[in-house]
Amino acid sequence: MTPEQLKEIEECHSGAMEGPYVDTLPPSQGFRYIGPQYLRGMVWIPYKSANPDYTSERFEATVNFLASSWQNVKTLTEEVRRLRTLLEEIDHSLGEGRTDDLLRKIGNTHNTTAWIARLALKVRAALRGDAL
Amino acid sequence: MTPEQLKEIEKRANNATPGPWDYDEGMAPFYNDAAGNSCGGGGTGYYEVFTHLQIPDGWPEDEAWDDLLIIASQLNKGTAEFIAKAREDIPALVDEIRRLQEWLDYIANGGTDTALAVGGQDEVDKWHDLAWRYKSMAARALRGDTP
Repeated sequence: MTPEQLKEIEECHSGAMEGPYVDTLPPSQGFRYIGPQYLRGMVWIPYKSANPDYTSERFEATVNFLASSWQNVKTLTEEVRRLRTLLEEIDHSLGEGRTDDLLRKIGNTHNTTAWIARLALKVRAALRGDAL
Repeated sequence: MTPEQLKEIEKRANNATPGPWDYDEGMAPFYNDAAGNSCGGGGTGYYEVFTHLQIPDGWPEDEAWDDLLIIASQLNKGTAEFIAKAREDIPALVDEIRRLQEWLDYIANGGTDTALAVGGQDEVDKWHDLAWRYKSMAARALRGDTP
């Protein structure tokens, strides 16, 4: 995930009705109302029982997903930010000049130096979104 | 965030109606305003989130298949867009957190001890503080601390 993708998710989240959403009404007539506590009923979820792919279990699971979506996206984006900030802090602590210096010193006899230089590259790769 | 919270969020996403979800303005052939006056047909002003269900195995060929499923309706545009995208954003965010944790776990518990063990004493002294700084920061992240 790139920083741009994360920003896009955060912007989309901020454009939605502010949560957390609540689901307080009992199931009734195949419908469910969820939404912000101060505007209950803004989200209307019909239960299409005629479709065999949409079972009552699937319906309930979808209601749970919708009701928790606003808070979950908030929690998840904050956690991604927190972890990225930490990696950035590690990356920053190496510093541009220091990293270049380390890379010049890489050699078979300098195991620790080489490892730290490799770490610098790995942390930068992580921040770019590469797999480990 | 604990691993249990992450698993719970992932489970909710896995059990919900599969994506992709999309959104569009709801259309109605006829509808009334709040006072009961007929407004004719057209856009309702509300947005809907929907998906298309796949035809189930064994579905009779001569039987019509209604693949359109309305997930949610009566939404404003911003909320419809958010809900439609959340179907894929939430699993993507869960994956991203696992990926970052994997990196930080590597930093905190992987290479540092090895590097400190295999480097000569001079090298250890030279880079000791730096390596321990990384180790400490990464360990804090994995505990859930704020930087």
